[in-house]
Amino acid sequence: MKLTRESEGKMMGRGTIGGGLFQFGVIVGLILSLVCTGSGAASKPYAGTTIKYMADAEPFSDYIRKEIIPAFTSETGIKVEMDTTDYVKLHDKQVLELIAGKFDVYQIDQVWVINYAKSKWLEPLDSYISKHIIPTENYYPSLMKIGNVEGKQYVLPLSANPVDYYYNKKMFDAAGMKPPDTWDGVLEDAKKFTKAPDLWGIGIRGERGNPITWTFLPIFWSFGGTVFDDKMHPIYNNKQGVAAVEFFKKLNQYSPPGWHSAQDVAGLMQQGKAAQLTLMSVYNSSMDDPAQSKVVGDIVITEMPKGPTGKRSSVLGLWTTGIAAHSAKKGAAVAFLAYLSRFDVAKKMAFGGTVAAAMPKIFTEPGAPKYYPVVGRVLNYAQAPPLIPESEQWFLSIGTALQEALSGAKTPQQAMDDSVSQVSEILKKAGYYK
Amino acid sequence: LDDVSVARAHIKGRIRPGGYFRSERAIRITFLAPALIAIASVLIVPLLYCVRNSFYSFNLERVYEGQRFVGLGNYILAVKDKYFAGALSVSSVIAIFSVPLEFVIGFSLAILLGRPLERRSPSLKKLFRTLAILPVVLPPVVVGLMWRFMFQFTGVVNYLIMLAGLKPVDWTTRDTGIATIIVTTVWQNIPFSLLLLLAGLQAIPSDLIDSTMVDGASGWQRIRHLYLPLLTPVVFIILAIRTVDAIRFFDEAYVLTGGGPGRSTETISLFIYRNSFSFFDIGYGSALSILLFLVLMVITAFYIRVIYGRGEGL
Repeated sequence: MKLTRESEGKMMGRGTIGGGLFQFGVIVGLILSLVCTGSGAASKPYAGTTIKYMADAEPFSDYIRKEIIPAFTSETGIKVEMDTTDYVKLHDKQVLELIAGKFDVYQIDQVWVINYAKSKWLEPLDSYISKHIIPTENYYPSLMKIGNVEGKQYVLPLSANPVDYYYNKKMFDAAGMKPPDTWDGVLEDAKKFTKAPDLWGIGIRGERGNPITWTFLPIFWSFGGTVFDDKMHPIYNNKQGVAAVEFFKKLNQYSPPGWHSAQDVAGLMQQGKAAQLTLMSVYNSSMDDPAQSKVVGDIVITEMPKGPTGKRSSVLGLWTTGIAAHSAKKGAAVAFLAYLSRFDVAKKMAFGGTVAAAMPKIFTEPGAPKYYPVVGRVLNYAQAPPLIPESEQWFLSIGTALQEALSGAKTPQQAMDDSVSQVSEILKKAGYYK
Repeated sequence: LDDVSVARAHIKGRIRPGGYFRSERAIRITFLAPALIAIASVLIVPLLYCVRNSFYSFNLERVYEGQRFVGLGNYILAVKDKYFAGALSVSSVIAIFSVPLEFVIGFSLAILLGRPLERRSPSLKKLFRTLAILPVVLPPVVVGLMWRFMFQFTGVVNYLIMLAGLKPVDWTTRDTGIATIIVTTVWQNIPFSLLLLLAGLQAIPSDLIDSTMVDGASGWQRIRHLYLPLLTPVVFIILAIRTVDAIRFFDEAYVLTGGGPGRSTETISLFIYRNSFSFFDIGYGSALSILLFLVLMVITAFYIRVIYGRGEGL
């Protein structure tokens, strides 16, 4: 089409006045866009920075990778490279990386915090908290306290997971059975359901060290067991402790042979190959995820069974996040922690169903996941494992002893005696007593 | 120097000192220096550092506690440590079973893949040789994972056992765990024995073999009186390398059992790894490494004496 003066005028806005208005508009637009770009740069001071984040290989890390990090990047311009490692290897890898210094942000188990902080591998967060750069007012104060070592805050809560009890309601209904309320009932039902190798009465998470101990501690406490006395002497080889191990051994007969990870036993339940399970609440939502589960709607999550003492017990897992002291990108790392600590982000993670809420307010928010009331009740009696600098050695010692007892290599009494004597030596060497 | 003089100097093993070098000794040192520096920096320095650490109490995870000289404390601890004794016995059991098995199977296959197969089907011989060396080219971690899946309770091994009308086996107990490690390591390392023995067999002059046939020697007699005596150096080299490998065996055990249940299938290398990189007890881990080094030195010295005769090679 040939442009005439008239058509040009029409396009420019009908005449010279219109043309002037058009030019004015362009200039205003340019100024506005420059102003906006300037304010954008000011609100994204670390845009273009890339930080490295080391996390545990669990469902909630997948959620953070897919849902949280992209939103954080689009809001701040900071890229996050996430590296996940299986739980049993995470501690070893973290210690070496914290010394070598490649990562900026770490997802840290509560039991490792004391050593990391005392080794000065973590950045104290107090100044960022006092300046309100990192919001912390919504967290459970008790969870914040776990990240406080010698008066300084080193880590922030990320996910608080108590262990709760899962059962397949469809299987129980079909068998005309009611779900058990005691550990004895769990054992009895496990026996009834087991039809190896197709169906198992229970799934036992039994990897050595922390994982098997995590499964054992709720049983142990509900049997009246105590790990240390007032003077930090280990006493879990006493009558109650050994009775708990003997019970654990009987229960383990109805779980598939082997030493399974959390993912393994969650998979058993999701595939309809186990009738019961005790596992961290972080796996609750995966039971109703059609992408992972064949038993959507069949799994009920409820409170932990009662032990012979008549009380229910659960163990509280707490994942935290902290910044490496040697990080050269602390500003961007702080921005990431501040983002994870925001109520709206924490709520999004919790409602996403994989990150367990560490803020009490989230439990009462409308639209909370259906199992939240149960998790809230379990949190009332869930207790943390022993949190001392030697925790990791204690976990390895008792976790080894539990496998020895369950496999029949030692009697429960022998296994606990050996572990107690080993842990006594460790604590003696560490100066707890002579 | 003209060309003839240089050649003469070379023949005598000497080069006349020139402008850059003051003596023949300087020439030798100069040319050996890069290799010596490389060896010292990657072998000697870490070894000396390891020896030094073995006399200290030093935990990498609790660096705030510092390092404390404990003399022979870590070595005494190792001698008293029942898990160390347990790990030594596990490694010994693995070596005692796997090395002879690998040798016997490797030798049998070498005999089969040698003349009989070559005579009857030369094309099949190439195929078998290719298949036979496959396991040894796979990374040990991959082999460990492969067998771990096969030894799962619902894995292919138990499937075959059930097809035979037997009950499935729990492969995660102490005894069955050690058995899985032995099966895996034997499977992977048969080709090593096979290839060396096959090369040795092919180096035996065919007139010797033919003359034993003319004399009417049976297959077993040929093995006993011809092959084995002539292959003695190869046999001992195989046994030496595989015994040392089996004792410091790590990858497959780490993947297959992780040393469990408890610590009942922990090999000596896994035990050292656990102390050094799970407990981060660097002092104790170093002392254990030095002890393992000494054990391996003794075994190697024994084999070298056997191969080269007493007084030679040491």
